[in-house]
Amino acid sequence: MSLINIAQDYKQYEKSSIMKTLAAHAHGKNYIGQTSSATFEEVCELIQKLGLPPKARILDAGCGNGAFALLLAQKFGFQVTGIDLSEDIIKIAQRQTYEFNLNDLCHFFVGDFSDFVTSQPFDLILCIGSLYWNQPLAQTFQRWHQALNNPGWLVLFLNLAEEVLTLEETKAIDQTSFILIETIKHELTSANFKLMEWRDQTKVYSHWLEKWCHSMSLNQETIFQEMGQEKGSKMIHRFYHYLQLARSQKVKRIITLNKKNKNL
Amino acid sequence: MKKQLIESTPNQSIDELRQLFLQEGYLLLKNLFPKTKVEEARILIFEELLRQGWVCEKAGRLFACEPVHRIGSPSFFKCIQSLISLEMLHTFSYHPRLNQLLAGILQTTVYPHPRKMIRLGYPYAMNPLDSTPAHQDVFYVRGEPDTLTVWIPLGAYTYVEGGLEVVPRSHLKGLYPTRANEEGRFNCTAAEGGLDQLEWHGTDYEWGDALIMHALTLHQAVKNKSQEFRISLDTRFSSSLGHLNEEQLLPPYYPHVQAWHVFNQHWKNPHLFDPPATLQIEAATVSLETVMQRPSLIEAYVTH
Repeated sequence: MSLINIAQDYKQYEKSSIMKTLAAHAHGKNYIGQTSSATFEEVCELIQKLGLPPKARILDAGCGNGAFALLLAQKFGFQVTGIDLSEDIIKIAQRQTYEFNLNDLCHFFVGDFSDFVTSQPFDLILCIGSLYWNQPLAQTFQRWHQALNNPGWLVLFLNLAEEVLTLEETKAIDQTSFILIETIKHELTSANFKLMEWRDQTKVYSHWLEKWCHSMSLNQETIFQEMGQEKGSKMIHRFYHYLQLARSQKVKRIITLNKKNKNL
Repeated sequence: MKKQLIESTPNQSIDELRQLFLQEGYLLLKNLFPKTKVEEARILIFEELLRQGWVCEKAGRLFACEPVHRIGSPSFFKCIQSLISLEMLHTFSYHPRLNQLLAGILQTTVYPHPRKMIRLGYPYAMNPLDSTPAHQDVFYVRGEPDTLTVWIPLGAYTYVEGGLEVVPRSHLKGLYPTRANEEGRFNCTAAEGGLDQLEWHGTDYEWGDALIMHALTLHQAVKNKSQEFRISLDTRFSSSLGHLNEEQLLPPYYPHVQAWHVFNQHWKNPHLFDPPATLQIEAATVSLETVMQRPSLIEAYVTH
């Protein structure tokens, strides 16, 4: 699946009312419109550790509808730039900068986060659930390294596989693949990032998926109505297998904090 | 394939050009300005954009880069201030053949408005909400309904970089209804059946071209699908015997941008903008209705 296809999939996801219902159920009081399993609380907790300057510049790579970016600007007064492949989603995010009167602090643009040009370095690059197996990882990390200040931080929220999934497992999750843990670690080191923290949040992820799956069972009829029987069944099937993979620790939810080393 | 604008040349007779302008609401003048002049302006602007971090050099090209300086932000005003203080950019309004032609169209002497808009057109992907929607200039410029806009592309722009497209003969239809667009940033023009249903004409603009439009001619910017800035200059002209909205005497975005006298002291001609005594300068608050009641050559043309 190409990155453009992922963006198109995400666009559908963003526009789907049932997916929002499921995400809201899975997150409970932590739901802020995000589509991943990450919560704003987790992001804040990490950011507060970094001692960022008051007007810090943050890049939200793969920002989606801007849910995290807008809150970061609102809560901390940071200048947050969001980049995403989907034009429709970026327009939604950009409109919200006006709604929340954050247009001086937030800007969203359409682009590939592995290949963008900036004239001002960032203090932090945040990538929440947007690194996929077919991302050009080496190029992406190198670009991010160049785009960061000194000191500069990279925070990643990832779903990673311990080892390559079997064909059956891959088929069960509709050909989704996961980046391997050792690949991520290798590429981060090669791009001259120093790993400062590696948190395994798989239990939290399993719990989140349980709630998601529970919500799917409650809303099955609506899922079929909105997505059609075939697509809806596929989606339900896929999420139950995500849950199995998380429970068996074959897919892990990792939050990692990395510091830019000075020289490449 | 977009319908093409009719091309004209500055060498055509003024009567012929006037007739075409009255009929179509625009003139696309090829090679009006020497390429060297346009290049000089472009270089000056890009030097400033580079200094202020709007563009980054990559593989010998100047790409528009993040952070985006949105219309209304302090860094946007800072850049506009620097650019409009470049005397050279104002000299486009005093091109002899252009002034002769505009005077021929209006059949009177013309006054080049001091206010000029330097359009810094971001790639659409970088700033999708700030592109210029369909509009008629009279809505903003006021003064005389027979105000002429000369849009000067400072470079060669194909449909990739975009440019301006117009609805020919739309100036004959009077005022189109206006509404705030979804971001509430611009007052754009709605048309019955939708703007997309209108017949938009465009072209690949070349160095030295100029697009002259009547203040009632419906026009809009085409999406810039490149990764570079599309820069252009809007200059305006009206009869030196007619009305002029006082805002046209001020720099664009004033008071966010300083007054002319603050930065034009070092110009070769600091009195470049002095209005003739014949000009009837009026308050900014004059209504569009009042403006539209003033006699117009379009009215005479339609009646004729």
